[in-house]
Order: sequence, then structure tokens, then C-alpha cells
Amino acid sequence: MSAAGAGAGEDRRAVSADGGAARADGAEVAARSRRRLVPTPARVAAAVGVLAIAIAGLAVLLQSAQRRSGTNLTANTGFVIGVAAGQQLCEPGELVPGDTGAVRLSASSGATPGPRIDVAIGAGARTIATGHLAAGWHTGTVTIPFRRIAATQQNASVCLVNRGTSTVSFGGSVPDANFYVVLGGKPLSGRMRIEYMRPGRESWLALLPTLAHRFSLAKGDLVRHWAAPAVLVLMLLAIGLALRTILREESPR
Amino acid sequence: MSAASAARPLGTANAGSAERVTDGVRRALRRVPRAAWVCMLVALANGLAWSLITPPFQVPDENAHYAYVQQVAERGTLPRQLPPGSGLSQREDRTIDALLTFGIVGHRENPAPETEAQQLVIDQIGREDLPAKGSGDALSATPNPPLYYALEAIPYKLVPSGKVLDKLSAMRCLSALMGALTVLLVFMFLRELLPGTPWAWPAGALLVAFQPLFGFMSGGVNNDDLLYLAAAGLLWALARAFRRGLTPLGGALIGGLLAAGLVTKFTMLGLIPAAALAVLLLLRRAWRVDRRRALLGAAWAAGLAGAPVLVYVLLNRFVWSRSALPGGVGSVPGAGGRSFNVHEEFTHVWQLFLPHLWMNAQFHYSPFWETWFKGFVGRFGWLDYDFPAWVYEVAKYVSLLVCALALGELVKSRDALRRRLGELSVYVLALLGVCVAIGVQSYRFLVANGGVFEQARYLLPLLALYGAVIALAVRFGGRRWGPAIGAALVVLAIGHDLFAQAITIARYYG
Repeated sequence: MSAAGAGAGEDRRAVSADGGAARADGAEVAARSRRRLVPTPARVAAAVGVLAIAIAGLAVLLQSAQRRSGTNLTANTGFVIGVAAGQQLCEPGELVPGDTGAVRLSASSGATPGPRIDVAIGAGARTIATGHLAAGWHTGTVTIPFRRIAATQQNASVCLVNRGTSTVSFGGSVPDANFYVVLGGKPLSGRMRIEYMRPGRESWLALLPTLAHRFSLAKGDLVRHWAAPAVLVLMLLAIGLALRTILREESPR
Repeated sequence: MSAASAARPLGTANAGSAERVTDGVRRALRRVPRAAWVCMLVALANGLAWSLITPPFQVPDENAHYAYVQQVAERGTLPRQLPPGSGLSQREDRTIDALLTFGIVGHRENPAPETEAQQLVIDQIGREDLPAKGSGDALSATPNPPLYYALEAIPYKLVPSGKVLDKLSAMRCLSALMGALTVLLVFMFLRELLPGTPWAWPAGALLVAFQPLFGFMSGGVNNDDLLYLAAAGLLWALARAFRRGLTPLGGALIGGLLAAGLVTKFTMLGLIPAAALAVLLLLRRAWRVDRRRALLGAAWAAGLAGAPVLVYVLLNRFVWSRSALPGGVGSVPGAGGRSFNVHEEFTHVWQLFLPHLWMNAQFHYSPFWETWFKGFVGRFGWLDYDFPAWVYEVAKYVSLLVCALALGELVKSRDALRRRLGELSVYVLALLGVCVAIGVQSYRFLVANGGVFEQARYLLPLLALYGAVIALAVRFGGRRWGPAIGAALVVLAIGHDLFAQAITIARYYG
């Protein structure tokens, strides 16, 4: 046999051996994937748990409610600002966030149903939105809707008019060293707590882009633009690695 | 000594020993199981996620801890107690104001800044070249020892930007790394504790990795993070010594980790009795067999534990113009009509964890349930938001089940337990020691300030023991059902952690 022929023979043997190895590998892979599919107690426990988390997560994401666009960070220490019948209460220096379609206040009309309350949002000399709360509301949290304010308004004023015949009180903080409201044309040291609400009802799922945007605020420049996707990636990594590790421990070494 | 070795240059000898040490460390790292590294990675990912979720300065006292690091990094000195109102650096104070921090802290109804207009104010502060050097005060962090802050000064310095928020982000990454190392050490502790049950180790370590309060703390700047690491390391070193005997290396690990904890936070004092008992038991065990090596190990433990603390005390006294032990120990002057009373202190410490029995009730609520249990299950921010009430009820039953399984395993293994009673007593003493250390501080705070000091995070130095309870519960199921119990608990912990992150997102961004 020539050297070339010998070489060719070796090659054939190698090919045959490789083929055998490949078949053996194939069998091993098949056996491994069969093992992977066997529903062991740990796999069942993990699968049921992950499914439960996914269902719970989805249920939360689909929950619909009116969502907040911001607040004026004022503590609600009780119904401390009384607005007499026909009187106007104006709160200057407000930051009204963009995408606001209502204000949520803490209001009391005593034991009787509350009167109509008008609201007007002003920016400079302009009124940019108006709305009202119909008579018949009860003491507690009230939401007064108005036309959507698209862009953030700084230094805005929020004015309320009591259209009833008895006093209505609003929740907030009185006195407040840094703020004042104008009540019946006179300044009063204090501030009403205002929560700004987005228009309509939204699920958390629909709110995700807004949440991602809020995530990018008030953080270091190093992280703020990718913080939201990074959290998702990090948690998927953590969960994937944890499940893989705990399930590997089931198979004997 | 041969002539050749005597003539060998000192540099070569040093290089040789450095090489030996490096080789030793490399070999030791190679012996760490792959699963341990993966658990560490899981904790790192979770801690980093928490660091991105929690807004700046919403981790308890983060403003004070940042100020301490700033003092170390900018002036190279430690902070001093100054009259109230002395202020932090203008750069930090103005950033905290722009973030509306104290309008948010303690007010769960107030979210983090949500508008571009607020972001513009924050950006403006970042552009102003405000002084980074403060008055020298670091508020509640001032009395703390410096190790954590010295380490955090590294990312502080490495970040080229002068902005507080950029530096804080980098510092939070180091804290997350400390959390990850803590989980690695918990894994190693479980490996030494239950050497015959490798499938229980990852379950214990992963439950620690996904513990929401631990994740939350790992994502913030707080010296507790290094305390957790040192405490988990110490418990690992003790378990290692019980399994392998007290050697010079084992003693050095015990002493070194104890010292690292002591120069991080004085809560570590609570672990000294456990470490001392362990060394005594190990000495007794080795007395007839290998007394010399064990004595050398004990000497290393004592020397390495004591020396850094002594240096710290001397530096405080003579270099840093602080009292020898800032914050002090022992009695404190009372405020608001209170005065320090040893009997009252004892009953306070007791009632902080146990029923008041025949003693005068000092709490109008159950600290065990309200502070420790509910806090451990989850209370976040500056303790201003938590889970819905039903979560704590469910957690109660899950915890009872896990404890019952762990107890069942102890009963099942009672023969082995009898042989390791000394080791068990060390861990029980570690638990008692930490509780007493917290209780004493709680009472001192109550007398001096009339306020509540205790928070569930102070128990996290015992995370390794928490991991052990989980591992025992998993072991109870045996080789067939144990992994299923482990998988169920890990998935439950993942769900718990995700829920905690969801309420955090809703709290600050919703």
C-alpha cells in the first residue's frame, strides 16, 4: 500500500470512527433531551411556581385604574383649608405635569353631600384647563376631571371655587413656611395637597413606556438612560441562572 | 539555613512568598464549586437591579453614608460629630434638595421626580461647580468605623464626573458586589455545615440572594452591606474550622473577618462571644492531637481580630480628633425624663425579641411580629412602604412550614447533632449575640433620643443562619423530595423578590 493509500485508509477509519462517535453523540443528546423532558418533582415544582408568577404578574399588569402624573409633595395633615360658600381658593407655584387630565384632592363637606366645585388651571394670565366636580360627592378623596394638559406647566395656579352654600375643607398643610395659597383674595400660609392624574383609566401594561421614562429621571447620567431595560435583563438573568442551578442539583453527580 | 538561601536577595524571597500566596488563593478559588459562583452572580444581578430601581437616597441613611465617603475621599479624614445643622457638602445638600428627597422620604404617597422640568433642576445642580467638601459631619453615619467608607471611596474617586448621582451609582455597584460576595460566603458556609448534602447548598444561598430586604440593602450605599459580608464570612470561617480543625490559616480567617466586621460596624461585637467560644472548643478538641497548630491558629484569630480595632481606637484618639469609640458603649445620658437603668435595659433587650412574661411591658406592640418578622418579609425605603397585609400572613405560614421541616431534619439527624453540639451552640450564641448587640443599641437610643432604633435589616448579619434553616428544610425531603422542596422555595423567593420590586416601582414611579 502506498503511503497515500495508507493515508486514505486511515482517513476512512477516521471517518468511520467519527461517524460512530457522531452516532454515539446523537444518542447521548437524545438521551439527554429525554431526561430533560422527564417531569421530576423539582421540575414540576419549578414549572408550577414560574407559571404562578407569570399569571400573577400578568394579572397585575392588566389591572386598570386612573394613574398619577405627579403630586405637589405636600403632606396631608387633615382638612385644614376651609373654603366658604362662593369663595375661591388659588394655589400658585404649582408644577402641573404633562399628560394631566384631573386633580385628586382630599375634601370634606361634613356629613352632607358636597356642592359643585369648579377648577381652573392657569399658566400666567391664561386659563389652560377648566373642569368641575358635580354636587353630591361625599367626604374623602375626590377627583375633578378637565381637558388634558399635554405639556408640563411650571409655576401654574390651581384655583377652586365652592359653588355651594356651605363651607368645604381641603386636605393639606397649614401653616407651611415656604408656601401660601390665596383664599378669598387674601394670602394664607399653607398648601393644599394635590395629586395630578392622567386622563382616563390605564393598565400598568399601558403605562410601561411612561414608567420607563420616569425611570430615566433623577438618576446618575451613567445609568439613567438604560436603567429600565437593564433591570429587566438583570432580573431575567438572575431568574434563569437560579432555576438552572437549582434544577441541575436534582440530577445525581 | 544554607549559604545559598542566606545570600538570596530579600526581593526574591518576597516575590517567592507572594507567588506562593497567589498560588494558594488561586487553588482555593478553583475549589469553590461552580454553583457557588452562579449563586453569587444571581445575587449580583439582583443587587444591581435593586440599585437601579431604588431612587437615590431612598435607602435608609444613604445621605449620611454618602457624606462619610465624601469626607474620606475629599479630605482623607473621618467625619466628626458637629452641632446639628452643620450641613453636608453644598454639592450633596443641593442635589438632595433637587431630588425632593425629604418630600419623598416617609411619605409613601409621594413619588420620585416624574417630570423633565424636575430633571432640568437636577441637571443644573450637576453643572454648577459646588464645593464637594462639607462641614465634616456625616449625620448618623459619623460614629461608624471607616472600612466600608474607605472601600467606597474607590468607586467615588474612579468616577471622573463630579456629579453626586454618578458617584452614588458607582458606589451602589460596589455594595451590590458586597452582597454577591455575601451570598458566595453563605454558600461556602452551607458547604462546610452540611458537607453530605450538596443539593441543599444552592437552595440556601439562592434564598438569601433573592431575600428582598437583602436585595434592597445591597442596592444602596450603607455600611451594613460590608457588615453582612464580614458576618457571613466569619460564620463560614467558624464552620470551616469545625470541619477541618483550627489551623493558622483558619485562625487568620476567623480573626481577619471578625476584624473586618468590627472596623465596619460595631454590631459585629455581637459575634465576638460566638467566635471566642468556637476558638475555645476547637482548642479543646485539638489539645491532645495538635496543640501547637491550634494554639497558633488561636493566636492568629486573636491577633488579627484585635490589632485593627486597636489601631482604629488609637487613630480616632490621636489622629482623627474623634473620641476613642465614637458613639460610645455603656450608659448614655437620658432625654425626655428617661434615665439609663440596667434592669430596664435587660428587660428592653428581652422584650425586643421575646414575650414580656412577668416583666413590665415596654412595647405596646409585638416587636417580634411588627419589627422583625414583617420587617424581614419586607418593609422598604426609609421604612415608608411595605406589602399588603395578606403577604405577611402567607409568609407566616410558609415560615412555620420551613421551620417545621428544618426542625424535623434536626430531630432526624439527632445523633450527628449530638456530636456537633458544640458547633451548634456557637451558632446559637451568634444569634443571641447579635440580638443583644441590637437590643443594647436600641435601649441606648431610646434613652438618649426617645426614639425607635431597631429595624429588621440589623438581623441580616445572620443571613448565613437563615440559609442554614432553608438548607435543613430542603435536606428533610431527602434525595428524592429535597430538590423539589428546594425548587419550590427558590421559586417562591423569586416571586417574593419580584413582588417587592413591583411595589417599589409602584411606590416611586407609579
